Amino acid sequence: MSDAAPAAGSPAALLPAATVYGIAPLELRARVVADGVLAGGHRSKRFGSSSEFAEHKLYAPGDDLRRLDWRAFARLDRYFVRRHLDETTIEVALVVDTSGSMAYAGGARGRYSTSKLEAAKTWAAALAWLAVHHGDAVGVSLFAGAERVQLAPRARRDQLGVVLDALAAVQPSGSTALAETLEAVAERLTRRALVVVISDLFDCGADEGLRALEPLGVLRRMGCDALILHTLDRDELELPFDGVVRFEDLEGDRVVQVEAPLVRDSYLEELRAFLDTARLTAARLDVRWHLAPTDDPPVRVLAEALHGTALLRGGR
Amino acid sequence: MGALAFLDGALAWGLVAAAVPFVVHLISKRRARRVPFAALELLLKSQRRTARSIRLRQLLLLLVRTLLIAALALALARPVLRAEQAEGQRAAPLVVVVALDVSASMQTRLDGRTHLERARAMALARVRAEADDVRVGVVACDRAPRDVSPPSFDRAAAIAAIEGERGGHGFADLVACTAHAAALARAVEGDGERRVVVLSDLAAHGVGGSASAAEAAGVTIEWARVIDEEPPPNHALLDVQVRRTSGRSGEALQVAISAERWLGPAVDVPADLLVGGRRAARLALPLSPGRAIERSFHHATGGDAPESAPAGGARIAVSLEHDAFELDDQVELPFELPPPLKVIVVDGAPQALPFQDEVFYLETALRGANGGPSGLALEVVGPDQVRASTFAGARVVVLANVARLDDAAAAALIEHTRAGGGVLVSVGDQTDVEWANRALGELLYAPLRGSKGQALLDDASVADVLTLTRFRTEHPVLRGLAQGEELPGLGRVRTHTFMLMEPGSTPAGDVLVRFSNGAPALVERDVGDGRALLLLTSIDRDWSDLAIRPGFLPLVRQIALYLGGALDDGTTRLVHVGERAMLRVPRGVDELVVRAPSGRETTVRADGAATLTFADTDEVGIYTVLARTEGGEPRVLGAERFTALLDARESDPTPADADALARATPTGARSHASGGRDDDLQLWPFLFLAAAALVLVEGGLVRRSA
Repeated sequence: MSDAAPAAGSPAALLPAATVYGIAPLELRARVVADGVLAGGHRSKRFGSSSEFAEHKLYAPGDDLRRLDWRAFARLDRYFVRRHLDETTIEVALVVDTSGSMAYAGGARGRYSTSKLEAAKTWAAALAWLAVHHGDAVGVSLFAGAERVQLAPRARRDQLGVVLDALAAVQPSGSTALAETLEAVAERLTRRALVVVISDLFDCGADEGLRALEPLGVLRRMGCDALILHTLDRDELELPFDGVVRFEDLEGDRVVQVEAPLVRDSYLEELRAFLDTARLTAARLDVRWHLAPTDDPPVRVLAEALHGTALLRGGR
Repeated sequence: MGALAFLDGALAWGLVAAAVPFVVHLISKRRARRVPFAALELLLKSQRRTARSIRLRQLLLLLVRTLLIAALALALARPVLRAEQAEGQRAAPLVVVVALDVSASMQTRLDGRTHLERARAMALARVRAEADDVRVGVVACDRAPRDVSPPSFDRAAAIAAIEGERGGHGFADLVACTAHAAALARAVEGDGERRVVVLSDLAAHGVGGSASAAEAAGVTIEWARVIDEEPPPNHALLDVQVRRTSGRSGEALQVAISAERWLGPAVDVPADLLVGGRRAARLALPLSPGRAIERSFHHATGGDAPESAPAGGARIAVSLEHDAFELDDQVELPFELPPPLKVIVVDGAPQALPFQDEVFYLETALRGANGGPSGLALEVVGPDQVRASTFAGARVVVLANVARLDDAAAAALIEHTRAGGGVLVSVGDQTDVEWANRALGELLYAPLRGSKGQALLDDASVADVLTLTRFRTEHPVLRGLAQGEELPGLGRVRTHTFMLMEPGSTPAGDVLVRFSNGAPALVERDVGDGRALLLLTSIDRDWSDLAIRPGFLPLVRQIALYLGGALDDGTTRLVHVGERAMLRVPRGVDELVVRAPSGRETTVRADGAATLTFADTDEVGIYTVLARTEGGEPRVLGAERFTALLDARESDPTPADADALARATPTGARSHASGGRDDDLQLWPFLFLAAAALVLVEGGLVRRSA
């Protein structure tokens, strides 16, 4: 990467050097062994031709004679074949919510921060860079009321640029249609993949147990790994407004006028219930869920989100 | 149940501020901040869940804040619950007359408010608290009772009258004022109770007089003290006298002060002498209650007027450390040092040896100590040098043992005297009796006959030498030298020779001092506008040892000042507030304008009188007198300025006891005392407590909300 500072709004600006360097020591590992064909740094569940020994197996007709362990035969007088762990690449599918609610960038007490969408773009770009860096295929799906941009996962070197361009171009608008988008992503995946959903999960049917996340269960059953980066602004986590505030919906026409200090307690209770629903739904679907406030450093967000799965291994 | 009244009724308008929380609530609702927000669904749920409790809490908060402001506003208006009236007083009275004490002592300031301000507030509360069908009148207890609002149903008039009272500096006789108010109440026709409410500090000095003999049956006197606590101690300047003296360094002022303290412990109170606005000296006065003390300041002037002297003379002030009642802590005096008085001394017997010279002792006495300034410009001439023009500009001429002058000079001397000048003639061995009787006869008390030594006296009962006796001690020349009927400095003067008067002649004037044989020693005669004094013995030591007696120096100085018309200059002219001031009217002046300390001017027509009386001395401070002639500009009469002092009775804050109040109650009237502490329930402390509690409740509600 160039030492020169990238221009604001350019694809490179989505991936600040600090973020990249912060993540660079990490190794992206799929939680499940992907069954790819390209050699890479990920462990596959399949036995293949890598140099890493896995186990001995009694020879059976049909086994590749090239893997017969003659030394073992000499010691034990029985035929064993050596089995090695195969090394494969994975597909990383980035599913990013670009609905209107993702435009919120704080503002209580005059404190403005990065909007949720900007934070999501940064995290997605970092993940894409990591995937490309490790030779994994990466694709992106940007959705709001419907899927707006979809790039199928590819392992080509120029894929990073394509993904970053798509991320840079998108602006927040419209409502949320997460379920439909995840269903479309599931249909497109041809093999096991890591699906990363970045969304605030508003308007995803919280009252019905976040039914919009159900397609992730299908993906899990397909053998894919899935991670939800639940992004929220600090204002949404704390409601730190003073006085009488007229709240206007970012995705509709709804309006609520309240004296903020008076509703804060009940709001925080509702928020806790909402987050509990998200966490429990993710657990039920066997999907990782990570709460990612926008004011947390991106490196920490990604490190903590990926660490939970033991997919990352320090050092190279 | 008593009636609710406000001691500071005007502050009750602060209740309007109780609407502020409601207005703020409405405004904040209208001016809500707009915020585009994502988690609206959560907000909607929480709002649905908490809407009722929030509304209830908001209403509670609004109520608490409104009550809080209302409690504070009410507390500041100092509400009191008037004590339940005695039996028979519960019905609304026919008339209520408020007697408002506006005397000087009501200017006492406690906790930032004067007694008068308290009295006004109580009076206003009382007037407002009375029912509409009760007549209300107001009497101001000033130097004399003043009807400021006759009894009527017109509340606005009574309130305006009360608010318009600014207080005075005079002494108020509350007994007379109460009797007057009772008479006013009795004059109202109708049946029912007639009530007089006396609002005062109720100091003993105000109720010291005996009750009026006027009948006041059917009237209830309510003695209302305006302060709850004990009156503060007070100290006061009772008198200040300034006179010119001679000190070691020349001319000096002697400022004698008298001060007293009432109530409280004995303390040392600093007293400052201020000359021309600057502190010239300081004393510590050891004041203890009930004992007046006298002290003096001595301030050397060097013969010049005090520095920073404004036009019309300098001001000298004596100031005690200020206490709660400041009016009696400072006295300011006008003071003017006149220009040096020109005195021409005609030395009739000059000698080569100074101490043998006729005027050696006189000259030494008049020149002042060490030859320093004395306020007199002395010129000594011989009889041969005297011409008619010699007396021009002179105020006083002394002929000391002069044999004779030329006729023109003698005529000029008489004319000088007629025009207002002064002449002192002393006799001696050189005196030409015949010439004196002829040329100076108009100046002489009686024709001279000739000198006579004691040895020639044929009265065996008379001692060898004569002494001075039978002093006219009230005469200005001798004033200040006398102790009772004696003059210590002159009583032992020994005279062996004196000048006899022609027997059988009709004297024209007064004898101020006589010899012990009854012969006149010092006589005075008015000549036109001037005066002539005749000393019937020598002014040196030839015939008498007067010149070496202690009283000689002040005597000749006073004679010089008296003859020059300057004896009264530089001394204090004081009156007490309410007393009459005598004003001298210069010739040709049509009217005098007296300017009070506040700037108020009063014109008094002279109508040819030589003196006028000015009675409106109702303010403490310096009064300036201006002379106005037909078509001429007014000019300040510096010598006529005077200072009005506070009546010392007003300085005594000792409160009147119940017996004194009973004695002061008009005959036939019922009376009872009232005061905030004793009879009225002060509600404002409870309101402040309630406000504090509401602050806590409000804080709790806000914390719960937050």
